[in-house]
Amino acid sequence: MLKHIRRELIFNQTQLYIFAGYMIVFWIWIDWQDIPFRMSLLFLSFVLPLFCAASIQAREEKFKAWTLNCSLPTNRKTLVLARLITSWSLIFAAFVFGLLFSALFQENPAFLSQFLEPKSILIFLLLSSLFLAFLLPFVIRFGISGVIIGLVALQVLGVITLLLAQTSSNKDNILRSFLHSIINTVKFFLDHDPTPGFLLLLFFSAAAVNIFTFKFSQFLFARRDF
Amino acid sequence: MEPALEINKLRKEYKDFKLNDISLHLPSGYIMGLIGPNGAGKTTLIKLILNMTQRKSGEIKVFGLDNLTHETDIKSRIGFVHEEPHYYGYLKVKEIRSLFSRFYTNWNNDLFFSLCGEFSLPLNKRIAALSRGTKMKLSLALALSHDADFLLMDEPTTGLDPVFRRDLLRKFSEVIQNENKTVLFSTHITSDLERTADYITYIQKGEILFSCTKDHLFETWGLVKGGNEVLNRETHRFFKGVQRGPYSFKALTADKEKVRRAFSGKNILIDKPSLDDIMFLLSKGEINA
Repeated sequence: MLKHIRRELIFNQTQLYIFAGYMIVFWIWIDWQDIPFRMSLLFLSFVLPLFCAASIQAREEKFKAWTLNCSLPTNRKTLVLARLITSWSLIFAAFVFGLLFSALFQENPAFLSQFLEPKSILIFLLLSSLFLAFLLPFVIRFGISGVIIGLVALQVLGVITLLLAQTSSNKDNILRSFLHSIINTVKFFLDHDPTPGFLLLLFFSAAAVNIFTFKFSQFLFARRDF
Repeated sequence: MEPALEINKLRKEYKDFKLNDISLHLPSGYIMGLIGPNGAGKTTLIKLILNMTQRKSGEIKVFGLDNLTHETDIKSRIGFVHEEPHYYGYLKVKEIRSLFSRFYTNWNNDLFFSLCGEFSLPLNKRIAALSRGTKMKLSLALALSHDADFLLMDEPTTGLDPVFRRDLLRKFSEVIQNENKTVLFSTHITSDLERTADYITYIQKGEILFSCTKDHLFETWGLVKGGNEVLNRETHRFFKGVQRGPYSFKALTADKEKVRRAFSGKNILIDKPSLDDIMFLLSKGEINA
């Protein structure tokens, strides 16, 4: 597995620099706009997996790397696992780098220390896992068009929600309820006391989501032709 | 000895093309050339062997092992050259070596650098800056550097200059000196096969029309030439493919002795066909099933 992760990291070495650049801009923006902690954490949880999945895949398609990878002495299961581990490595590297960079100029150390609390890290882990679970299988199966389809689907969902909200007097339409339930769940996580049981629940939920992502990606990737 | 490759009733279906229950047998220690027109299924067949494409049904065994169950073991014994080599373009030639070497237990650095010298590969140049022919040479160097028992090559000579093509074919012959090495390569350049191949397999529209030794092919197959007056419904059935001119015809037979007997006393000429003749008449001529 190590040789595969090494291969993935060599393949994505440019992405590491791009991620670093992105994190610099992101933290400067947070500081400049005084973005609250919760909003920053949510933003990171969604943007990092998106950036990671899309940029890895863009390189994949540029160099047609799957063709090369599938000809190496390995199987598809290992390739998918290596891709998942690399994605997480990139996300965490970007997260840590961002915090370290921010520490250089952030005047309020308490703001940064919130990101390092176990609950914050585990919420970040769970939310990122959920978004990666949404993106990675489609990216692995359908390539960059998978990312675009996923994002367009989200946008269409947003547009439909707005239209329904405007045209319907019924405040309890399904989409609105669905989105509210998501927001309420996130709020629940953020407001909950960091008891050991709750932290374990977050950890095992994130682990379960990642196992699902791996299995589903593997299922889809096994059906892909090169 | 186990055959290097055994394919039984292999089927793959696309929307507009299918590989139709094909079977193939390649003993260890021989070179097989895979020929056929564009879109015949040559690349699909090679990709199926490497599990780069999913089959619908059938069985592929490499060195007696199922190619799905023993995928990693089999691939470690295969040296693969793709018709369009894809490498990470920003890496240098020597860096791609470092990447590849970790995947093969039998990797031989000395051999790789020796092949780079032989093929005049620039070790410090980025792969994106290499010409197609040079990338193909790199691909060959990588495929030959891990002591592969089975070289699987998809159009390896395409895009190469004639001098290097000859060198490459000589290299194949050198590799095959070791009787355990096997080569399967697809090509459009039939003269390459006439020089090197032990077996010829012809594939067209997803079906194998013949697969036999080159010697058998040239001993039994014939290019028949004659006037149109000898060609009728009765005699037409002796031919695999026929090309009619205004006054004369050219036809391909898989059994020239049979034709000689059937046409005895008639004014026909039977020549040894070239692979070009065979490809042309099978793909463009009037075909008899």
